[in-house]
Amino acid sequence: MGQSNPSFMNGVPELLILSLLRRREMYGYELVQQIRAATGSVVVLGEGVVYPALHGLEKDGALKSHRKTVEGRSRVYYALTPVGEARLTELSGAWSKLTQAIQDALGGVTHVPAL
Amino acid sequence: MFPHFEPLRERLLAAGVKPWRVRRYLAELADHYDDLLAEEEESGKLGGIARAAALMRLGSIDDLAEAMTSQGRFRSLAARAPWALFPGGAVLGLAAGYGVTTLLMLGAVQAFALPVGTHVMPPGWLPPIADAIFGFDRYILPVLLGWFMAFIAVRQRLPALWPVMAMAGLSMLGAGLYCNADWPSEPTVWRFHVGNLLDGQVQGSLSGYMIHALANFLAALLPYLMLRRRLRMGFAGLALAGLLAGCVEAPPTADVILQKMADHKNSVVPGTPEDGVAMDKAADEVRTHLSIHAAAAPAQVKAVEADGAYQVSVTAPHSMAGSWKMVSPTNLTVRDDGPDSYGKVHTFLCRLDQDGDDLEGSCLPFRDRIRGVLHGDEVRLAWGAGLIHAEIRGRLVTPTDFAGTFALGALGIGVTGTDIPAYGTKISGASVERGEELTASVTSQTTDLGGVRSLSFLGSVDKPVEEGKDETVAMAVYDVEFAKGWKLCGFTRDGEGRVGSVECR
Repeated sequence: MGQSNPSFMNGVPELLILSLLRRREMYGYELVQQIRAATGSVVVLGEGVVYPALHGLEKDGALKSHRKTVEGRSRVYYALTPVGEARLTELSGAWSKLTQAIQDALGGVTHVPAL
Repeated sequence: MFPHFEPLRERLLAAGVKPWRVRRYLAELADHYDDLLAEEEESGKLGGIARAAALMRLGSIDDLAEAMTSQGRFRSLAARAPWALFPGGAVLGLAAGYGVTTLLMLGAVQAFALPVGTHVMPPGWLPPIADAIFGFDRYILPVLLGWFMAFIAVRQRLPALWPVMAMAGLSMLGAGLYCNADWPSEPTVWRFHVGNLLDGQVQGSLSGYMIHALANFLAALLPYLMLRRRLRMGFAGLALAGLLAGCVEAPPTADVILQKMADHKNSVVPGTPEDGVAMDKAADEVRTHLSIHAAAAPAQVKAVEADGAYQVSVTAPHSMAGSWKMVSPTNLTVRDDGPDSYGKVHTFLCRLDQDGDDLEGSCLPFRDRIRGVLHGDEVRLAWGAGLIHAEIRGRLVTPTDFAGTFALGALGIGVTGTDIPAYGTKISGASVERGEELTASVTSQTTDLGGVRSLSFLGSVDKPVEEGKDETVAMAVYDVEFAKGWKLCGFTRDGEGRVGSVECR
């Protein structure tokens, strides 16, 4: 099982992380499994590298973390902040435009300027 | 901290990542690893394979380190701007110490100052306290600040240049501190002065100043050097301990190994050292008698010349230094849709260096360095990138042959063993057979190189008896270390076992 092509992955982990954490708070392992499930294993991350991404988002104020003990195990849970909500909206919009543009290009759609 | 992540921790700290962030990252990785391991075990994988699979899913050390170090904002101030922290911090620290001293003295002056026109003398307990404070500033504070700089530097794995510079500056500034407090014998203003000899206000003893500065410097430097040394030893020790800790299973005996080697037909069969070679004396040659009683080189050689001949005794401890041809699987294949398997068995060539019991070297076609330990006859060799490494666990069957089994390790410790044979043969490097008796004749051209110090059997090749004919004779080829250099020497024997020819190139 290989990892996703990194050249097409710029910004994708951040978008997926923010999107999934909007639903509920999660810890790292849980988050990676959710990414795998939500993308049908199309997006497979080196699991450990999700943490620097989480730390970066936390440092930006997009996420907040707290340690919580569940079933006898202490874990660091991450949750979305209002800053993260705004970042997600921004990234989602940009991503939608990009995918639409690529879709159009792949579909051979030609935009003809109006006369 | 999860101890198995020690190499990653070192990488991150050396890259300047803040220590508290490194701790948090590793703690999260350890939690993640536990979850992955549980998942792999639930899927039916065996213990060692499950651990390896979990580590592979977690990511290689290279990837895990790169993900963190690529974000420059995780780096500490000490890593980003050591020039500001160390010299700047040293000056600020001393300035703070001087400032506190000044405030204390001014407070004392204020407390005991009487109205103008009265005569005042300081209380008897004040001068000793003032001396103690100044002494602290001159003798203790520079050293404490130096230790603090050393702590920061070691914690961040910084080059020694910065803390040593800071210590030198602290020592010089601290040694030059002086304080004058002139108690007013008449109703006038108190005179109080804090400064440094370097400012030229006070003429002090230069030699005394230098001795004081040197004492401060050494007092700060020595613990730092010890800390650095201990850190390096601790890390190396951990790697070694990890390597050995993985060898829970008893090493296979030589008989078992040899039986496995015999059972395991492979494309490469390791050679064995030849027995002693007897050579006839030639009239124009100098006869050299070699009595070699040794295990392996680097050898201590004692040569006695008598009747135009050398009697050479070589004694040496075990050593694996030299070039080796090894046979082992080189990788592990973990499959989601089938049984895990070990990769194809390969031959690889290595150059090993030995320092005490520690082995280190390079192999082709491997990219990674190979490391190991030789303890008595027991040998451990490990190589690999990232979290996973392969191991050979075995014994030296002869000084030029080892044999053992392949094993898989992770994060510096062995996690699983196999019964797949792995073995190696020394192909060059100083090495002699234990108890070997060798009488050899060498040409006068060769003897210009001096006495023979050691031999290493490389293998046997077929040499045509005459050029253009198919008939061949076996030639035993040795790598010979003479006192003044190395030669590749081949010996052939006639049908009666006598040496027919020798040629060295």
